[in-house]
Amino acid sequence: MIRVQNLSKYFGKIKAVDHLDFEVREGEILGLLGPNGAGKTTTMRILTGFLTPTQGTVEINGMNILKDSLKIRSILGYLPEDVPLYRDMTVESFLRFVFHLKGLKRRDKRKTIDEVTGLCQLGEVRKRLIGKLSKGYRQRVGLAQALLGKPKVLILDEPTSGLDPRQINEIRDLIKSLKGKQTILLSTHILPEVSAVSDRVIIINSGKLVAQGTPEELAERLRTAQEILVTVRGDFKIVKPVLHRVPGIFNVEKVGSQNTDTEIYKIFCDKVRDIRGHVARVLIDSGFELLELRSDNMSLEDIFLKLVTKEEEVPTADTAAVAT
Amino acid sequence: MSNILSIFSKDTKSYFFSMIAYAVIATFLVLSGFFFSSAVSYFSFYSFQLSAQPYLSAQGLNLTEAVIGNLFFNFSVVLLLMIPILTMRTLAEEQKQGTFELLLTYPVNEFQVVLGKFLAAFFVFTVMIAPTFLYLLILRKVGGDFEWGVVLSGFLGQVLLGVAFISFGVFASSLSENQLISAVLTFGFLLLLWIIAWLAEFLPPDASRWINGFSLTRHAEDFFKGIIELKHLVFYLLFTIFFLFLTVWRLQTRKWVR
Repeated sequence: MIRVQNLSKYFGKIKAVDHLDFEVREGEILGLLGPNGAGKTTTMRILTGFLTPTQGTVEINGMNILKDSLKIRSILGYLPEDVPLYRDMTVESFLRFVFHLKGLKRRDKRKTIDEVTGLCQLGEVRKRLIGKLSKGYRQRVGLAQALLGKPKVLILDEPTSGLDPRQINEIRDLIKSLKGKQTILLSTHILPEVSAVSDRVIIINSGKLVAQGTPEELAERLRTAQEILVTVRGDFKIVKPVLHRVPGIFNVEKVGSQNTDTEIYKIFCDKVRDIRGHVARVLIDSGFELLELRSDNMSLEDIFLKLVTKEEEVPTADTAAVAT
Repeated sequence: MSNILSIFSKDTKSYFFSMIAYAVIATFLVLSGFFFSSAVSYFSFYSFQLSAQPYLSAQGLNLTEAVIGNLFFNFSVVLLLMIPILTMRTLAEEQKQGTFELLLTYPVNEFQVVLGKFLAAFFVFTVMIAPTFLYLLILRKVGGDFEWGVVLSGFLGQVLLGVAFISFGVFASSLSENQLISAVLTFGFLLLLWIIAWLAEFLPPDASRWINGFSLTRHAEDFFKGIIELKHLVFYLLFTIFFLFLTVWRLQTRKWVR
């Protein structure tokens, strides 16, 4: 449904989006995850035709974003970040305005607007001015204008930002209820959000694709990296082969040193078993002085943070497994 | 077409809802009413004095020339102050509030947006100058003798001037998300084109012809005297079309920003 190939966008010398490739299948909910400033909004703005790419192509429903911009926009619903709305209009008149601009069939007007206000629970504020509404309501008005006319593709930029937990759940439920009917691309910088609603996740950082997969896949793959920190008196070249004798370890790295002969190593191993005892035994049996041993377990959140902040520190074996 | 209409009606409502339209219209009417009544007072004062002098009174003063022509000129000066206020928010506000992003991700093209907004400002402008027609009806009612032809041509000149002002105002509004900047730019540019004719008097004929060609005042003068000439009509229409297209171009190139 949405195919992004080799997409790049520069603002002056700043690379906002860097050779991005991904695809959103029909009826799927794809979560675009990344820290603030990762290029999520820029990517979405390109998809909606608000910005043009510096390089690369975007196809939506088989149409090219540059050539068929108007046609694409007529099958697209977009909720921009920060939900810009006309504050001096009432909810009802705003939705009517959007209805006309989207070029929908006039005779369905009443029904379409009723439907969307019902879906977004805006019934009681229909006659109120948008500028006087609370953040939660304004977010829902934003969502309502995107949903109006049941567009085939929905692009939602941080649909739950600034809401309270109850409202977040409501919006998530609403999005989940659209699954299968509409193709949805939503962005967020909160990890639980994507795992809660999306079928598949892509993680981007500094405009680059870092990882993609289903939330379970990602969690599983990321979780396989358990880390153990050991402080040993002994040279890296000698210690490393010794440690590799322990089953389950796939990488050992030197991360620092305390004295000339005391080094700190980081051990990456699978999460299936607890190998701390085994590591200690092997080291002592081989005649090394083991000064400290602790597990450096990362939560899913930590791993995400690590993935997007210091990508280069993630071991090569791990990135290879993740960035399929 | 329906898109233009939607944007037109949304913007028109917003003018009235935000009270800008009322403020601008009321101010314009107070000022133009003042100009009108003082022009008529002066006229009647001098007519009265003249009637005491038998040699001159035979011919009398010409109301059309003395009042009507100047009146439209004075109205235009007030327009120069009011139009920037009317147009400053058209696109600047959309850019500032981010609603521009919303608007342009609907199946609407930039041309429709610009035209809809231009027409909305033009509508408010029409509502603003329409009541001045009443002034003249009142003048006629109390026995003023003037030519309707000059009045109509004066109104035509006024409308053309207004349309040109608005088109530049909308363009200036597309340049910045700050309304004040767009108002200052509009006022400065229009005033410059207004007074540029003063310079023409000191320049060699060739140069002054050029300068006069760009002067917004010079092109309006004939209309206010009751003369409708095609070249002036064409000047205002080209001026308007040029700035409207410049606005569309400006909005279209915005998304290619690098």
